[in-house]
Amino acid sequence: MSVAEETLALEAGDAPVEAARPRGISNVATLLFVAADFMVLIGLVAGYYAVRSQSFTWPPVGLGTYLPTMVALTMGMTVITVQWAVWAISRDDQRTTLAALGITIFFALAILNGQWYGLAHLKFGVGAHPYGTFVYVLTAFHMLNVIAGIVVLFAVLGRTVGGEFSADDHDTLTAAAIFWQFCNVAGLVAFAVLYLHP
Amino acid sequence: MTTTDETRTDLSQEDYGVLLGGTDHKSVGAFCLALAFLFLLTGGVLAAVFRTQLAQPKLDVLAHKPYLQLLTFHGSFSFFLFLLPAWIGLAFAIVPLQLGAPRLAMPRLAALTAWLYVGAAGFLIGTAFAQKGAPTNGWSMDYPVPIHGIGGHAVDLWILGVGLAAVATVLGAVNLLTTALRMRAPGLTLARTPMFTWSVMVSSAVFLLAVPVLIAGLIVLYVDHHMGAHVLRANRGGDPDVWRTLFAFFAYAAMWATVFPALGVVSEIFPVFAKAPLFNRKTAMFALAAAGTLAFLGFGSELAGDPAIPQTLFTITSIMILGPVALVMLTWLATVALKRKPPALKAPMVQALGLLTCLGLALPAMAVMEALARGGAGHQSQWWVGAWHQLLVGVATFGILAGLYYWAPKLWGRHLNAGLGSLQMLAVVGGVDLAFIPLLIVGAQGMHRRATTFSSDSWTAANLVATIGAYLLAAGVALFLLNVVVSVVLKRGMVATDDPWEGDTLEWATTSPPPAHNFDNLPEVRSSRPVHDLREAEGKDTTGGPPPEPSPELVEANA
Repeated sequence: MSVAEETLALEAGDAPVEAARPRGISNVATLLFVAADFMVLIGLVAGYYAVRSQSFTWPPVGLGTYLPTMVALTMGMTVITVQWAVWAISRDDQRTTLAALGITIFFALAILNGQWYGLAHLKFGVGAHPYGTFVYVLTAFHMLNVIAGIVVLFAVLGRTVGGEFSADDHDTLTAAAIFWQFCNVAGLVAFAVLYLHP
Repeated sequence: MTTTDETRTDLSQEDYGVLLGGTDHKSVGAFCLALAFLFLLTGGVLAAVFRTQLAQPKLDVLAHKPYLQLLTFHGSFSFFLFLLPAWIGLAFAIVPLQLGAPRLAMPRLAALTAWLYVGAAGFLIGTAFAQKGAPTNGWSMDYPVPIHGIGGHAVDLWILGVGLAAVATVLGAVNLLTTALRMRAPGLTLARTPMFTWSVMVSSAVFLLAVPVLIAGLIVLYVDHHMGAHVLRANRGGDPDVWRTLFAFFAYAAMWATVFPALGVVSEIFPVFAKAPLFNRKTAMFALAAAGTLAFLGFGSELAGDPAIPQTLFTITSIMILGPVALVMLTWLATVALKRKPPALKAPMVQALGLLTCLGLALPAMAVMEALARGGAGHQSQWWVGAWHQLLVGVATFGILAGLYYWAPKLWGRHLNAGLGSLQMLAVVGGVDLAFIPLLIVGAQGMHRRATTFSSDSWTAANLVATIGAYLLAAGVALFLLNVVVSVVLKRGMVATDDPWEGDTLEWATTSPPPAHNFDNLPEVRSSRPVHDLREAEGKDTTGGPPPEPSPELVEANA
């Protein structure tokens, strides 16, 4: 029911105002939440540079960039695959949507695996030096978001299997994609800060 | 009509209260407010206790450590468990009604927000039972910054408690902003949004971007304090100012964001009781938005004394924010002045006038503090306490009281007692003036913000007056709670009509209290005053006719 029809119905006294769910709520809410999540990242990065400016030798230890670069490239690939899912559903192509979401989730699990392996093989603890602390904190912040993202992507995958989305109605899928793109931004910012420009 | 009745029954079944998992925005809001007032009372009693210690020089009511513990509890309770949940709760209850919406955008998220505040309260109360006792580091956890080993597990609990309150506030802000952006009634454009909702949008946007920075700070503080990292330890390559700066960015913005909705409440009350539209409404909306932006730019003034901070810049921005706030105040005065007729002095208007006097005194106190920030005396002295409390108690808290008098019909279907209300207004205004103006005097003379005792005889009189003011303020809050108990809980308050104040905005187009689905009929929205427009249109239809008789039930209920 469109907004205009809804109003007419109300004036006629046909139904109480518990109308169809207004469109775009999940997208707007996700965008706002992502803005807040991004500010946590900004706060952490600001703290990183504040401590870095106090230090003569930075970073105190050299870290291999091979694994983080591979993880970052995987993030770069999910930037495309998750948009591919949105593109496919807006053309009502359920099978391609499923494929794109499946590939995104596969890559997401690979990202999580790579980061876990990287953290588990670090040669220093979280309290060794401020640089090390931020390696743990920024990576863990990204991993938490990735875990939340994987849960959301699985939920959306299930609803796609159930045929809940169509070209006209796929707000939730778009919202999941927005959140996943934020995970990528957070991961790439952390990668740039910790490894490219330490 | 059968269908309608059935649907309504289904909906009203959902209205069984947030305690049992209900998601009706009015009961979730009332739940947040009840929690908040519990902690206003607790925080107030704590303040009265430690003000007793400062009533005379060299008293022994409280030793150094318990004084600082009570001070930390007072600040943490009053901000994280009173001001934040109170504003989020009032906005949850009122914003959907003002927008003509049946509910919040995400009702279950709202209930989660309320319960997260309960969790936060649990952790913050839990700090009292930690092995080494509650934290003594102040509400900003920087007196001193609790690096590894300082404060014990109490600090961990404090971090978790404040963290939960922060997450709750972010989720509440997301919910309110989404509701205001997506669920407005047809015709209710952003420019026509009611002033209270607009102020909630501004402060939600500030919470949304400022509170996460506190979460970042809490993460750093936690790894330092609990996991033995050295990000905040100066002699190990870290810097305690990382926490101070992140906290100041949050605190300065969030403290202002608790003031904006109070300005919104008064911007609703003045026009309704003056029977005139708000003078230059768009200017007031723009001023609120400008103040919201400036709230992000003044945090450096809270770090006065830190050589890394460009103090001149922050002095300018933190004085600039007072401009738009004063402008909003001027639109209220102009609304009344241009009407050339005194406004109706009903209970909400009485509260709004009380708030106005506090705001008028708070602005110059803030201006002087910021102007002298460079010297570093203001922000670490009692002046800081006096000036900020004039804003946070005299405006932010007072705004919540005024809002509850105004919207009591929609929250409870009854009015709060007006006589008791006037008495309470006098107590709160007197309390704010007596408690906080003397702090400006001793602050200017150098009394430290967290002094636990003093020996100078020249400070005795001012401190005694401030302590009496604190008691008076506590009495004012007690009177308000008494009013709620008598009028609402004991059901002695006048039963309210649907539109008792002849309001302008959509919440007055439904019943008092509204049904679970909020509206049976929505008037057409063609201006920022749809209910006023409706009344005028109806008035034209019945020109010269007698005013409608009150319903027999209402007469009986009020007898």
